Amino acid sequence: MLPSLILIGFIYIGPLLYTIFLSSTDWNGISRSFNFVGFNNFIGIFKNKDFLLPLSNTFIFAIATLIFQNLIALVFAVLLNENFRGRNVFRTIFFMPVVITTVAIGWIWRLIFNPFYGPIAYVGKFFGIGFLTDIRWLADSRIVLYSIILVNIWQWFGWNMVIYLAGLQAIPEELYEASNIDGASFFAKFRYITIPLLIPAITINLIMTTIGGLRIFDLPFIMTGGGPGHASETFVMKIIRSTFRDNRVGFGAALSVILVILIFIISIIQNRYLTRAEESVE
Amino acid sequence: MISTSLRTEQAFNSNPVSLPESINFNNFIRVFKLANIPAAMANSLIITAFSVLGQIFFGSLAAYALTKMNLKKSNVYLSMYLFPIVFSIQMVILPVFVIFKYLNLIDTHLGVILIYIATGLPISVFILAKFLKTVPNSLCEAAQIEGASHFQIYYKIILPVIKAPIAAIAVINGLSVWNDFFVPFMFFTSGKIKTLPLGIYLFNQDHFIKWTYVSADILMTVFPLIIAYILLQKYVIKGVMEGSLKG
Repeated sequence: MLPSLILIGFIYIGPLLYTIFLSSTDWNGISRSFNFVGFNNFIGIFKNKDFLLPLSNTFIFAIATLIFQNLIALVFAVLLNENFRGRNVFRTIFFMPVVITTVAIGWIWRLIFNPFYGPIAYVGKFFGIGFLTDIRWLADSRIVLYSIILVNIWQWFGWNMVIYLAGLQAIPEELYEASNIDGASFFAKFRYITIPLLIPAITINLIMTTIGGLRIFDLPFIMTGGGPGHASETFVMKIIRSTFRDNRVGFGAALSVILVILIFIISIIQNRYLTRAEESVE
Repeated sequence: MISTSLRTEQAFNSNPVSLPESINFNNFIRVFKLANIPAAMANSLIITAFSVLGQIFFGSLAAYALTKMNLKKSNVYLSMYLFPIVFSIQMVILPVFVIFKYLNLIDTHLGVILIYIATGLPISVFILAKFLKTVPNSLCEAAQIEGASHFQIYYKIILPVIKAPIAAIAVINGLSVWNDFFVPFMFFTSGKIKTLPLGIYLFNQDHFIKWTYVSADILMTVFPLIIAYILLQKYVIKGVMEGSLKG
């Protein structure tokens, strides 16, 4: 009786599995006219080159968030690990953006970045800091991607921070005390005790941030819709656009396959590297 | 940073300047009606509730079956559950859309709920299974000797035991479903059904010149969640922390 209940559980996995199969059937050309296009979609992608910009945008996004989000989160986690009054208040505040829907955050920051109505420009005008009034956060194609990265980090660093906090609090106090007796400096303690014992938390955070970064869609879509031009278009955006707007279903499907393979490979590499690090700690 | 959300409230009254002149509630009322926030909220509630319930129900069943029932190859199945964590709905959106179109599930609550259950299961099962492994088998064995069926064991023993991880999972998953934009955006194509995030997007599309309206809309949408968060934040953060430790 219960085995049949497990089967129900599998049926929900079914969508995920079927999707993998289906996305490989784009080789049969899921297009309106059902031509057997074979590999042409993939060849078309590589010939076309207009997937390069979304791809590089996505990579830049993923790498930048990976590095800076985690760094900032780690710093704050270490700071909040000390017991001081009101530290829970800070913890709550820093985590709050995680809880707010990305759509709302995207719009709020659109307002903040707005060169006419936004607070940043207002501050610039008030203090006469020309840089702040002139900068076009979202309209300048050179910096738009980084503006979005900034917002993303603002939203999510609390999440990573909390995970680091959990890891930090799991480190036994005696280790630090023992090292104090040996006269260890702050940096030495950090390097030899904190970091090695944090590796599980680091692993989770790195993997989550990477995967999240590679499949980013909501924030850039809300903030700029991919603009100006295509400057902030991400890979997933391109998939959606090709499939639903341009009606190039086979193309979009092929792109999806590439994305899946990409994320898969990157995850495996990350996983291998990080579990090796974990084992060396033991 | 929090002050920025306060600013949006002040921006209601005077357009360019970020300081309020007088508190003006008319904007709130007008936007409330225009954006049909109650309907959007109801939809979000329904979808979130059923999705999370489904995840918990099927997830706990699967976790129990995989850890306590001594099936052959249960380890293989367990690692199969790990596999989809790497995937996210964005990657498989296209084929899912095609399947759903065929099954007439686009634009329905059920379709979206199914997606959320499917995407939430891997992590739920993973965490629950890990937790269940730490529960001593003797409990179940004792019950089996007394002649309890698997279902009874599940109901009377397992469920009470896993209350804590279920709470954590419910909170985390519930949060992500409530705030999700992508799935409703893709699957509620007619614009008749809206969830809160989708509502913000659609409303602001039409009104984005009027920052006052936009700010009112965002604030009202986000408000209930912030209240809930402030009240429950201990549990939310705790849930994340404990979930990550298990992971």
